[in-house]
Amino acid sequence: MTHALAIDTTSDYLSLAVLRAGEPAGSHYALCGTAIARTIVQQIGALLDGAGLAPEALDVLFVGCGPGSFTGTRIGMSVALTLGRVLGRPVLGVDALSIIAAQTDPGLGGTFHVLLNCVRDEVYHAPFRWRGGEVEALAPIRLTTAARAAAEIGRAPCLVHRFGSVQPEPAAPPEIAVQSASEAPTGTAVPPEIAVQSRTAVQSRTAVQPETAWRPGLAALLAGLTSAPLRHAQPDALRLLAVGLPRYLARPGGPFEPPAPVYLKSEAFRTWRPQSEAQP
Amino acid sequence: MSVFRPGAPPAASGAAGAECTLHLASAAATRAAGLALGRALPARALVLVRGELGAGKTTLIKAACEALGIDPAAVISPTYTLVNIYPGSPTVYHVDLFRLERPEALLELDERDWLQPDGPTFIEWPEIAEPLLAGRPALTVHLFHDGAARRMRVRSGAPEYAPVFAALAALAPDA
Amino acid sequence: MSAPPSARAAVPSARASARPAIGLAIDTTFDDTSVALIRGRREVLADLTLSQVAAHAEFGGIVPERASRKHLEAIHPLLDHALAQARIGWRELDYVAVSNLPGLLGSILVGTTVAKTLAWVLRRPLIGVNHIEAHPYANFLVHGELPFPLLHLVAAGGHTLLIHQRAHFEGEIVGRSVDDAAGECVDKVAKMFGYPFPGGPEVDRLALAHAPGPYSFPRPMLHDGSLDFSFSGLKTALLYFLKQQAGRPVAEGPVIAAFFEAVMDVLVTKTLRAARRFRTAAVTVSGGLAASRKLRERFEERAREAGIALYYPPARLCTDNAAMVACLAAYRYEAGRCDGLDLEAYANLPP
Repeated sequence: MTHALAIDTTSDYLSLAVLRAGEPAGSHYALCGTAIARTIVQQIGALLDGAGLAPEALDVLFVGCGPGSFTGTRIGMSVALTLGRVLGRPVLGVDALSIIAAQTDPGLGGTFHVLLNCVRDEVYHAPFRWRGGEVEALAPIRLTTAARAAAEIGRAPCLVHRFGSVQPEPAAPPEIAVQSASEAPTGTAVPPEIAVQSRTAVQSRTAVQPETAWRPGLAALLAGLTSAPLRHAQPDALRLLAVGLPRYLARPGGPFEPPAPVYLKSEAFRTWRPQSEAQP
Repeated sequence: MSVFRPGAPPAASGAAGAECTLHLASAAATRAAGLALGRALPARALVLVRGELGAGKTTLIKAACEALGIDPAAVISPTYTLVNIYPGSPTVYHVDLFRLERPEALLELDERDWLQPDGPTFIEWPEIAEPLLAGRPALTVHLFHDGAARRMRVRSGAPEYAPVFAALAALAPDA
Repeated sequence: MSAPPSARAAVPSARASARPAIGLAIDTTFDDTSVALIRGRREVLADLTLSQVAAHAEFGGIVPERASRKHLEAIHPLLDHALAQARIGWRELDYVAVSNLPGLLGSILVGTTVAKTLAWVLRRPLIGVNHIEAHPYANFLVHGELPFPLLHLVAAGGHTLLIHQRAHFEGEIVGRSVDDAAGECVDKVAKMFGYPFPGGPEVDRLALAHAPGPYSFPRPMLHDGSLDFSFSGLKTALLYFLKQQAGRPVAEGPVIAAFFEAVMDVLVTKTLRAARRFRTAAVTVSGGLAASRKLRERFEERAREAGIALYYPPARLCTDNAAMVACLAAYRYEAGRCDGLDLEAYANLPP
């Protein structure tokens, strides 16, 4: 069974989750802002201790690779890539929009959209749907303007997620969709139609308590990732994910793509397969 | 001996924005202008400081930081670091984009690393960042060589900087 | 002079054998990514910097146009390369060192985070190093145990500092620039003449090839007995000089030679003044500007006249590198001066 560690520092929150034998075995979620780098390694140590796992016992590492805060993303990825390298385990990068999408109700039928604010009026956008118990991205993430995204989204359900400067109300959740246009963060023009749709789309998941908002997200995603989709993944895609390249570099107006790995030597990454149910 | 000679009186702020010009006869005058500027800045000020090499940009910013409670000895040129962060209440960001060659280089930096959302930010050589700064309420200070002295032209279209113009006007002696 | 201490880790347990410790040092304080491996205090097993390494075909991959601030993508291939070169594995490391100040914060954090993670997963001590304090240690690396007390001139990027060092871990800044640093003044004046930034090497080349002729520029703060520096007046003097030429052709060689004379005069005079004031037996020069051949030549002459020993590192250890960081860390490790996993990164030197 799979032991996994998930790390996400792409917003102002230090978000960690551990799977032991395929089951969620602990998580940590705190609004840290600029203090993420100071505490992250110790928090991971405490989390693994709590789950009764030594770092060497981990089979795989998951890391949020953006988009989001550049510095934040770099910190989480620095930890994950280093652990992967030293322990000889694969590091799988998960984008921020998938993490958000995974927090919606699996019963949500049809296509829904996720928007994450960038700077000024720009947003990251990707369409998703639930299929066979896992959340699936229907198209690569695009960096676009809120207005253009709204035109594409039309009347379909949409989650608008905002990360930004540390707000004075630390107990507030990362504003999963429950915001009207008047609460839109500075510089982000969120068309009112999108915000209204968001509330109805995520009703079931807004019952999630603020302080646990991300934890089910990471754990749910972990549970989802430890099964079908990766078995069907193309070898190159898996290798690209295994490299865990940061996806935070945004070129305004253009499609949002990870930069080509110019610095890295070709290496054979160990092909990772989920443990079969039969193994202990 | 007067330290200041007023230039054009501050225009009324509003749609046209406000502007004023000061003649700075010495480094002491630059410092006094910087102190006045620092005291009058709103909480989330963005101050773009332009001028040739040697025009006194860092001197002005050092004084403004002093007015904001930062030890002036801590304020040094960020030419190499790109961003200096002076912890305090408020924390001040001091940016120098002199050595960036292409606007794309700025994209490699997280905006929040250099454009402090919650506190004052001073930017020397801001030209390369202009496309990214469009739309953010800013105060622009332009320092010119004027013989051995300097001239300082201050402009802003944003009403939150009105106290700055009042403070700078108060520096000029009565005619 | 060091960063505020974080929680001190336990002194590393003594080993039965006297095998010299092997340390890893990482530096990501500015644009370049550097790693080094050291055995004991001086044996450099690997010393790699991305911008230098990437030019070599053996590194593999496509050579990037400019290796700046790509620390996250560069650090692991560099580490792998360094370990391979040194022929050691992760588990043979005794400590992990990292420059945690000063520099560009987002860049420093990549290095400190990788270092912390290594220290934790390998269960080894972590040592946070002040990058500016590491520059003089390029001299310990290359010249061995230098006699204390020492007077260091560090002219690195935005810093011009005089450091009086009485012993390892006992030193203080006794002089610093109150405005522009020397290297900054040089790079900016070079820019006025149209050389691409940083123009230090071009200035050095011209200063070596030309005499100042009739030109002379002011030496700021030279005669006031202070150990502090001020170079922005000199920068302004060059600017006014060029303006006065009003487009007439300028004899670049002699003018730049005269400019650099002023820079050198101030640096050398104040350094030797400090050495006499603190009665130090020797003086060291380090940092990027110390790579200037003309400056080294001038220091040699004046130190010889003054009867003071002079040390400086080879040029490649004057510019940013992790080997000097490793050397300082080696002394720290031996003395048990390690840091906790809550090590902070700082953009600026403490005031």
